[in-house]
Amino acid sequence: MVRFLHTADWQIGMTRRQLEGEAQARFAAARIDVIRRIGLLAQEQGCEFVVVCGDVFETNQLSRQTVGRALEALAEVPVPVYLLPGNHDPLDPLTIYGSPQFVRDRPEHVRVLDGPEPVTVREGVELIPAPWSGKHPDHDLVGAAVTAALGGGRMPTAGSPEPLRIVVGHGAVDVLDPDRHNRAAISLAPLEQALDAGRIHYVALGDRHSRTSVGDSGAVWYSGAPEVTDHRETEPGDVLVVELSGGRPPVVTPHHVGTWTFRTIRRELSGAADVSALRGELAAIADKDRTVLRLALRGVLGVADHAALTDLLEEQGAVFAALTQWERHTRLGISADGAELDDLRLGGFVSAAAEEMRGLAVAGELDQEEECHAGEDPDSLEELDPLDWEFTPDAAEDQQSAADALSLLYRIAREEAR
Amino acid sequence: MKLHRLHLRDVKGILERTVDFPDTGVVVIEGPNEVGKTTLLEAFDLLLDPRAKATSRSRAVKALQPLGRDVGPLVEAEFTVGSHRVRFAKQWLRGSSTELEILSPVREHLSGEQAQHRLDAILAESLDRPLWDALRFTQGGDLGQVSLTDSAVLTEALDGASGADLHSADGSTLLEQVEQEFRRYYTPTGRLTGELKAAVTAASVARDEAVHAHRAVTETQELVERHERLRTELAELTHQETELTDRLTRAREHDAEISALVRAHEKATAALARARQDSVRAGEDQTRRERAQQELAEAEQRLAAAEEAVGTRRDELDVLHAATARLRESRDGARAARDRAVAVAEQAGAEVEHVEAVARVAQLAHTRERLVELQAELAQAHETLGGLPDLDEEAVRALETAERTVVRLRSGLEASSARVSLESLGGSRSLVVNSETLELAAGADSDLSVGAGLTIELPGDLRVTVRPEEGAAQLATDLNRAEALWAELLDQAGVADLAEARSAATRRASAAARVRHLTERLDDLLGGRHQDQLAAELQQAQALLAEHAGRPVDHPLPEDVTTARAVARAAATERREADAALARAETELQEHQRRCAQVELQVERAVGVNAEMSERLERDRAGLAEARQTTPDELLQEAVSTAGAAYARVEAQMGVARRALEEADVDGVRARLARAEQAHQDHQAALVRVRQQLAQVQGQVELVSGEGRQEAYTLAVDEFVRLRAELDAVHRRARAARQLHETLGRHRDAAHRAYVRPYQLEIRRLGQEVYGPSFDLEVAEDLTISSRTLEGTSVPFDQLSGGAREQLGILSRLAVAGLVERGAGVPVIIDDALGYTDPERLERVSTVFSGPGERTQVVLLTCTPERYRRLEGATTIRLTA
Repeated sequence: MVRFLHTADWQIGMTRRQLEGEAQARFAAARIDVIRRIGLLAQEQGCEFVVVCGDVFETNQLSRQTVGRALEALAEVPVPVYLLPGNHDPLDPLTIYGSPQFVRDRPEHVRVLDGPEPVTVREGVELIPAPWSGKHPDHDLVGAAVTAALGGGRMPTAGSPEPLRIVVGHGAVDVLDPDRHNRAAISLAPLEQALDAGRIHYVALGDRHSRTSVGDSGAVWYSGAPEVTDHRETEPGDVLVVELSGGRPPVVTPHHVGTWTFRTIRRELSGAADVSALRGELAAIADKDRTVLRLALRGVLGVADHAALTDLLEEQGAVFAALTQWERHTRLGISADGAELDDLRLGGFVSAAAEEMRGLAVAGELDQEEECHAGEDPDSLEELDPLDWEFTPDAAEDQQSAADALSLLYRIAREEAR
Repeated sequence: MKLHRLHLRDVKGILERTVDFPDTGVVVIEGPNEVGKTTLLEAFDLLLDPRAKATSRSRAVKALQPLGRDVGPLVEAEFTVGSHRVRFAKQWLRGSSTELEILSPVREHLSGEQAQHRLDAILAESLDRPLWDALRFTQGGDLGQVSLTDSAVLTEALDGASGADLHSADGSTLLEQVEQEFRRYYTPTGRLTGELKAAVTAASVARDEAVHAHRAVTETQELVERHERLRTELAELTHQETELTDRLTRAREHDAEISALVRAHEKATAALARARQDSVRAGEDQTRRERAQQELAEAEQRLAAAEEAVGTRRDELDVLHAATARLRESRDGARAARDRAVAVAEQAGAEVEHVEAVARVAQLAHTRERLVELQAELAQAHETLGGLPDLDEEAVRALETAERTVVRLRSGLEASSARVSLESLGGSRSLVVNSETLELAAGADSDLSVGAGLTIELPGDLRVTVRPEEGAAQLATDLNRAEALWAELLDQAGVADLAEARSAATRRASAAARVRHLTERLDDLLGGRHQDQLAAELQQAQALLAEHAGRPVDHPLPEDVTTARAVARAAATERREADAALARAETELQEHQRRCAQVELQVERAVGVNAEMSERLERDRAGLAEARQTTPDELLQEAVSTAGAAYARVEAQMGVARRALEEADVDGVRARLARAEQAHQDHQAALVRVRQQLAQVQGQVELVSGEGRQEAYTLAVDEFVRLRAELDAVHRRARAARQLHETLGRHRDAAHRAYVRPYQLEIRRLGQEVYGPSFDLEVAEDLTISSRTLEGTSVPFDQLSGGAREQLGILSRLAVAGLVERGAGVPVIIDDALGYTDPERLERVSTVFSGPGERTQVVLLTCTPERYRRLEGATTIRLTA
């Protein structure tokens, strides 16, 4: 029997661009702190060792400071740690694991799984690692490692019992991979066969940041990232404590270690009530300083409600780690009803100017609604070259600017009125 | 606002004064300077000023105190503002107090602070201060324009007049706020500034930094890719090594085999060459022997032929020698003939000379005879001539002339001279007339011409002298002289009279002609020679003839020269022919002799040649014999066959070697070896290069790997994206502010444009009353007058005269007063104006004051009341000190 802790995708050195200075620093620190918590958990849970299934580091080119802090935290883990190079930190010429700093400062109990040869943890427990040596492997690394480990005269011989074999891999499993042509995809079927045959006993995987059990065996798992990294993740922040004993299915227990949250709130707003409901909702969120909140707001508001919403977002924006509007899913229009402006009793030409701007703000609304349904591809920001940019100061007036101008007028006039 | 009453006490120079104003119409307040007209208004202003509380000790307040009197100035006014009619009084400095009495709508009495507050509230609500300030016109003040745009009452009034509803009561502050918001992001001219500019700069800087970081990452990426490529290359190279080495070994083995074949072929080729040489040499030896034999035989034949030819030549020479004697004889004959011909010719020539000499002697002798005859005749002719008087034609003509002169004079004298007739009356008488005795017979008479004078003398008795008149006397003298000349001439000529003279002259001429004729003939005969010369020639000719005297006399001398000459010519011809014949004979002889010499030489030479030939023949013959003794002919024949056989053998061997070589593909094998060697060499070089590069790249990778470029890049991009989002937010606010600013500005300007119109129309209406129908003006959007037009000429306001500007200033205030609502307006106050205006204009300006006076108060302050004399219906308040 063996008990160990399965984790992956630490992505040390990751940054999130919606985070500003100090939030970014706290986010980075959280990814280091979670290592210490994992160490404590492993000790608590009586785990013999920890396997990290790839993407320990966000990239091979990290600053010495980041690598140094990670090594410091790893040194505090009280049990052996096995690090698998993944697609973010492959064993390429730049590999962190070969850097002078890492080689020099690597704690004794931390070992890099830098070859496909099986590693004996102790008698009766063996790791079959499938490390990445480049960003684009052309075959199923896990399958190849398993085949190599199990083939070639290593057939079980009577008398010496089979060791408990833990496959340590990284990458997409074919049944979950939408890309049917990915030659590096991990084939599930052979793994399940080997599990059935009792040749291997657990497949510890990394790459998917949400905790996932793959297939029906209950022995193939993605642990997910210990700290959330993206809005898309469904079950982030967990590690798995795994108990194996020959002949029985593995006992896999998730433990939550993450401290950060990424949230998306989608709301339809159509009046003051909706705005104040949103206000209450935001207020109710806990741990705002560690919450990255993304708002997808749609609807048509009057000028006063629009101004109220703007005020709300300004107030709350300072409190959350990040509060952003999901541009692609945000459509807020100005209502055609000019009642609020009338309430301000604007006279003469001011009133005429306000009427004109309201006309502009309302006019374009329909077109924009259609537009927003067209482009739904995720993370377009990642795909475009963000550096191919120049500021264009002479943007023409449009529906947006008209709405904003009207809102501004409303706020100024309201101030005046007070 | 309407002012009803103003009461002042202890204000500046005024001890106490109360002025009541009528509700409507024009009020003229007149009084001398320093009487305190302006003080009235200043005091009222201060009363309404919320800052000038009763407790105030501000400079303006202190200025109200009369000089040198420590009293509290009091100002009290009763006026209507908005819906309130109030009485308000304030005393400052000493005994300060504030009293407000509201008279309507609800009576109320307040004092102190309360009163002040209440009044401030009432004024703030109902008094349009900008209008109040604007409608004051002070002569001492600025002649410039009214500032009206801030007046709510006016703008409202103008809104009303223009039908527009565009003015907001609190528009100004709103506009200020919007302007302030706009200026957060933009300069007044629309350039970026402040927050927006900072955000743009920050985003641009972050972008540049991210680009920089990205370049570093790209470099690293390229480095890694290069590393991988090199590793792949190295693996491939290592993999190829064995194969290349094997290939090289195989190629070298092949080459060794081929080299052996080549060497064998070379050897065979050399042997073949040698065999061919031997064979050729043997053949040559034999041929040489045969040729020697043949040549010897030929030489013998040639010698025999040559000796035979020499014999023939000698015979020929003998024949030639025989001919030589004959030719010599012939030549000698020709020479003798020629000598004879020469002698004959010489003789003939001598005879020509002989005959010629005879002829010449004869001719010369004849000439000498003729000469003697002619000389004799000439001498005779000269003698004849010498015997004749020397009278020539000229002398005859002189005689003729003299005689004619005498005759002419004599007849002239006869005719003109007085005549004296003598008649003897008695007997004869002898008379001497002119010394000549004249016998006068009895009864006879004598007619005498007086001539040169006449002396008639009766000898012894009487002498009558008749003297001619003077002309006659002259004539007589001339006659005498002419007669003397004539006589002298006759005398000289030796003749008696003219006829004789003529005959003598003829004879003489004939004799002279003969002399001349003879002389000429003599000269002809001599032919220019002298007579002595002729004699010498004759002598010479005779001497020559004497030389020929000894001639042979075998034949007669030719008859004449011509014959002699013909003979001489024939002799000369013969001689020439003889010369030619001799020359020919000589030539022929020489020719022949030369031919002989030639043939002799040929014979000699041929003999020499033959001797030499014979000698050489002997030598060759000996040589051949010797050679035969050393190598007999059979031996040579045998050597030829032996060499031929050897060549055939070697040639067969050569064929074998060549075929072997041809089959071996030497070039192919060598090329393969070269290629294999080159490939191996290249491969080694490539290995070295790739290893070096790999080491280099490895070093670079190690250097870079610690830099954390990817992390730096990610941070830089994140920072940029964040700043860009911030910029977007700021820009969005900025655009909103700009749009609001622009839209409001545009609408405000449009509104201003709309209310400018009624204001302009009102001023024009008033202006036309003053200046006539040609008056017009332009009003800018800020309600300032920009130009005035009179009689079609536009002048900008600034360039108008002081008077015109003043007038327009007053007109514009009256226009405002005419536009504002009844009750909402304020009094138009014109303080001491129109000082610039001429009296005529003044009169017309005055007429327009009364217009607005119906709606609002118009207060005119002046120290020259005449200015407003014409003002009808005005209330005049006179102030005195």
